[in-house]
Amino acid sequence: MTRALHAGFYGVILLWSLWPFIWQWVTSVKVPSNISRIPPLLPEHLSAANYSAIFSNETFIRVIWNSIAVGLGATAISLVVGAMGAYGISRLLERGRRWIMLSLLVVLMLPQVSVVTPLYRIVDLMGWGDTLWSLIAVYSIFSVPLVVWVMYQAYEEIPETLHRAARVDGSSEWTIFTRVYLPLGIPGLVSSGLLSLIFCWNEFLFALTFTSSYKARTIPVGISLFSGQYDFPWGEITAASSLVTFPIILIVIFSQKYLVRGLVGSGVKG
Amino acid sequence: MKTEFKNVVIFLGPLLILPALFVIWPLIELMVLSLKHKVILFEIDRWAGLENYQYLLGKDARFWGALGNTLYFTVCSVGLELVLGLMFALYLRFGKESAWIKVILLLPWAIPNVVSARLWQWMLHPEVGIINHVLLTLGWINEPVLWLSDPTLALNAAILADIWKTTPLITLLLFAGLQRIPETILSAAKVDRTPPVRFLFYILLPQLNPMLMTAMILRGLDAFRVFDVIYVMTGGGPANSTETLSIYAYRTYFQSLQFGYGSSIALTQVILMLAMTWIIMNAFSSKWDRS
Repeated sequence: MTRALHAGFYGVILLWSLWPFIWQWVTSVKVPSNISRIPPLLPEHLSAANYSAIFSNETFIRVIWNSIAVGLGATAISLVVGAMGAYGISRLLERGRRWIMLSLLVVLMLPQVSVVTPLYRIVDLMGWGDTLWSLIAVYSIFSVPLVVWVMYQAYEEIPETLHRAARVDGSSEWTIFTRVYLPLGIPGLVSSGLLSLIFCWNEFLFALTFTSSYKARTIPVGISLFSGQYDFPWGEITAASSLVTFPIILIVIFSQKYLVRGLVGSGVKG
Repeated sequence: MKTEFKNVVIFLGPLLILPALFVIWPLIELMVLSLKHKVILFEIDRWAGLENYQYLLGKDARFWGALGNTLYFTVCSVGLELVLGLMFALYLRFGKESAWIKVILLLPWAIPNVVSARLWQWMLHPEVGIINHVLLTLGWINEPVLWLSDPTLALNAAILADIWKTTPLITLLLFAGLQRIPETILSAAKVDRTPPVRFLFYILLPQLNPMLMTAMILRGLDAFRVFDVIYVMTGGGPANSTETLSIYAYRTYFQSLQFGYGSSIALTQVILMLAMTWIIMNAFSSKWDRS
């Protein structure tokens, strides 16, 4: 009885979470001319036509590279700035921590649309219009607070005595940071790095407004701009979506522990 | 003392540039712009004082519509997500936990908003969407439902997509909260044979309160600025029935190119967001005191 109940509940969760993915894959392997017909629900035979259309689409390949470059660039910057900042807040400040952490949370939660035009002007002034640099810089603004929140939590868990002992031994703050806190904080860095990568991979509004050509467009913009003559080319859209969700599925499977820790850790203490 | 200061500058200095400067400067510019009539196309650029706000709060029915849509979206999606998330989390805590279920729960959360919006748009397709097909086959509806082009349904469809995508996050947060409840409390309740409903309302929920608050604030603020899902699924239509504040501000900026008025909308949204946060924080301030 209980076993059946468990199986039933698992079934519900599985169906709820996975059904849209399954439907996306099923659609993507249908013959393009069959996509806008239902029934049949399942494809009569598998077709790679949608995928080969995507792979021969140079702009889409370009878009994938852009996303990777922007994600890695912005994550690298935010990890450096964020880890140092978190250390500073956690170990060097006597007061004002709560205030700083709250301000960072406000930045994290700011509606993107409210800063999009002023930031666009700054990007333009720097001569970064329609380049990957504009997106790397802007994404860093929003992922630095994310990293600080996760790393602050990680550093708070390291006993203060360690810091004091190192000070007594005459180590400079920089040495303590690079030799003690940075190595001990690696799990936190992994968590926050992954969260930042996912954020950059998914961000839409800035990518949409700061780019005017496929030179710097990223995956979400690429997918939103797919269009056909009458209806959306759903076969290609689902194939492209399946492709870009694949790396995310891998990340989630192999680093579930870090992701959960990062998400929960930054939320727990508030 | 001097080296102390130098250290603070080294470690915290970058934060002053990277989020601080790049957020404060735009916000100041937003404030200035919001006091202007500025329409790029017609080269209009003059001071307006508070006229934008007078119009916004007094005469602009579209603004109030967008605010209503935003609040409806926020309350419905966050409310349902909390209920569903709590159910899943309770099951994981007291039923059966496994690492795989966490992987599966994380998947919808981790994919791009744009992808999940397109996915739901495809499933809700009036003629060839799987959802209409299933409902028709089951005989629950007699003709295809126009999910995204019916003004009374479109916003609810977007809420459905949002619930699918973010319930996992809430589940994980609440699950972590449930795990932190001391085992002694749980076994005491077991020994006392506390009935399940009392157990939930008098023991679990009060203990879970801080986590519920965190989840509610984070998700509430995130839902209040919703843009991607709606922009991709409906673009704000049909007949502005899914236009939220972010979408309204975006359209005012980039479709009508009214940079002054767009800034007034955006700044009003930021102020509302700060006010909401402030109220919730003060109502539950005990949580924020470090102990």
